[in-house]
Amino acid sequence: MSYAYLFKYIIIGDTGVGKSCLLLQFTDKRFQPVHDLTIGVEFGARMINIDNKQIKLQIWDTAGQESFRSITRSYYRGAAGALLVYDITRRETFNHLTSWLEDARQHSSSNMVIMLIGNKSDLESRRDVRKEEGESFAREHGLVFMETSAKTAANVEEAFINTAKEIYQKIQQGLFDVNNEANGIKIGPQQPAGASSGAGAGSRHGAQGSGDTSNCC
Amino acid sequence: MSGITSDSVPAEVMAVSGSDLLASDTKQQDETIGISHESSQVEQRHDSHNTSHGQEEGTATLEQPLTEEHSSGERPENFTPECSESVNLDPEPESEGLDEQSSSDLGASPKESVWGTWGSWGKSLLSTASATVGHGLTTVKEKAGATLRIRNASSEGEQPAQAESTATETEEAPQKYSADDPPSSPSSGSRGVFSTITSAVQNTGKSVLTGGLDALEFIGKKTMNVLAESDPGFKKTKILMERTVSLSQLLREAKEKEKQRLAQQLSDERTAHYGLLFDEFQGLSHLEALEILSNESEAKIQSFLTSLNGAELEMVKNELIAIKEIFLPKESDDNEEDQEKKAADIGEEFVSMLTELLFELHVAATPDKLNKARKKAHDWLEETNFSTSLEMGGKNEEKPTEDDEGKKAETREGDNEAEEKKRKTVEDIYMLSIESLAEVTARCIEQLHKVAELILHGQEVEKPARDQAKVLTNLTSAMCNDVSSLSKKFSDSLTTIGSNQKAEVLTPMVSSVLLEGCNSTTYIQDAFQLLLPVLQVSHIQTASLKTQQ
Repeated sequence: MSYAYLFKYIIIGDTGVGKSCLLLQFTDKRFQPVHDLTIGVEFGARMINIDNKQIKLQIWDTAGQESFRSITRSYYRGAAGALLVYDITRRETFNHLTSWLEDARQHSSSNMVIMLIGNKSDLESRRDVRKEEGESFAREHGLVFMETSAKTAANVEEAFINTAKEIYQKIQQGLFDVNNEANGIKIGPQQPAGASSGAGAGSRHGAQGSGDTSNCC
Repeated sequence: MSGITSDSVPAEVMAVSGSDLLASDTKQQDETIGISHESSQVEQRHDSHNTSHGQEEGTATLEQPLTEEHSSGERPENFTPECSESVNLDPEPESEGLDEQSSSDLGASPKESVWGTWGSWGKSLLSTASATVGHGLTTVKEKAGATLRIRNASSEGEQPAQAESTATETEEAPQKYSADDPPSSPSSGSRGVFSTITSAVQNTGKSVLTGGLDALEFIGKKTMNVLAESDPGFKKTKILMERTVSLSQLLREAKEKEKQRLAQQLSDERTAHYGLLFDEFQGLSHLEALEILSNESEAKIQSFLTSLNGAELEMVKNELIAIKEIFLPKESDDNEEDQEKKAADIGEEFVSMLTELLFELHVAATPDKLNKARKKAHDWLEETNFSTSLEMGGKNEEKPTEDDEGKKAETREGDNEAEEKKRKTVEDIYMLSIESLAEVTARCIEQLHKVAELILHGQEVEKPARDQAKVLTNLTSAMCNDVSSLSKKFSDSLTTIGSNQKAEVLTPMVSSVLLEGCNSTTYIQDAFQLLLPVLQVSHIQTASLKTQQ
């Protein structure tokens, strides 16, 4: 499949909050109640459509275990978007958000779009973190917020796609340099975007060419 | 960028293998191979932060392009330095692409008609190159373009003097070069025949070297693979050379394949694309992640080494080199038949062997996904061969073996099912072969990536890094053997099933399967080499823990 852009995402957060389940729901549209612990990082990819453009999401689903933290940090770099996930039924996963956020900010581009996700919204009866708390944390740190359920698929699609929309907007505003792959964005092959950048390069060529001639003479 | 550019293959080996090649075939191929080989050296230097690991000093490698150039040339000595200079792509600031180069050539003033001549030739060469490679301008290309442009400007000044000094040679040059030179029109040159030819020759060389780097590299690699088919002795050389292909190049090639596919999409929906499939199975992602870990480990090693001095430094260096030596590809004395036999024998043992080796590593990696992919491939292969043997059995009624009889009995029960299987076309089998190879290879690389993560993660009971290195070497060679035997089996069954097909149809498919099988092992070997810094860092960490205790 051809695409206009490729965005690199990372999913981070404490172990057991449902990072891999969110990914599985998003890529395969299924839920697996028992999931193996993620070792290091796993991958998922899916094509989405924004503004009539095909965008490929390449998702790095990291291990939540503390002992893998130093390894997974290596993978943050070059991500355009991050899903920072906590479990609404376990307050400690919410309390650890600050440390995750610090890590993310430190090891990735400052333009990275971060989506805060309170997962397991289907377990309302066991709720330990109020929705308002999530909202206010997000507001305080400039994040987008959403409660999701990987089990019922509620808001899962939205979480991934809204993050992409945000990134796309930033590209339109010129906040992201799409030619710098360190920003986690790649331009797809043979696309209008590619063609236009080619034309831009062409005009630069002309300018350089004349510069060259003057050098020669 | 660290100054250390070591590789799995020592420079001497490279030089020898390079000239072996050069002697072995037509001039055209000589040049292609020589140049592509060289360009991979260049690229290695550019990407050395990606691929370099180990402690050897890189001077030998740095000298490499010069030696190569000499060996590839029947060119007069004077021209050689020119050519090699242009390959000396020391880091230039980010710059413009090749197209720019050619457009600036074209845009040169009438006075520059000499340059215009070679420029337009270069242009046509470049456009051929870009047609092959696609429109993506890679960093290497960009840098090459920049250097080429800079060379232009400077050689422009030297031109008259050089033309004089090389006059004697250039008189001979026309005969030598007319065969493969561009139709340079001396009459158009305001500086006379000599300078026209000199510049044409010099700059043609440059354009080929820099402009066509990627294309030639690509073509060269394919050429080598084709050569290998007909020349078994060449195979080892080629394997050696292929190990120097950098991962970034691999990534790039995969992208190019994708582009090619997109270009063909309308005309030919059903072509199998290894690179794309490999990406779909997350092979590229795992490779990228492994590369990140490898680079970070390399950086850690460097910073650790700079913190040491004197005897301590020597000691650690020696320890690290000892690990590296285990990673060096070994010239095995096994002849090919033995290898094949070995590969075939592995078969079902592979699973238990893999598990055992991973267990030996003392890392909690399970080969589930790899095993699943292998099983899928083998099941499918069996199914295909089963339906083939049915067909064969039908044809060769004279000598039905017991086996065939048994199978026939089964068929009568499930006649429809068998009919279904029979209808599998050669294309189906080809596509599935490529897909299986891509999947198994992706899983192998995923496995190596997981091993790297677990080694870095650290476990309670750890094996010494040197032992781990040995186990990993065995693991990798088991994977490679398995993939080779898989591709062999696939091509065999393609040959059997497609026996009634025209050679033009069948041969490309069979060779493509064998070629991707060969590429697969290269990818696995590359991934394996990325593990070296990981093991070295793990060694350093374990050692420092011991001292603390």
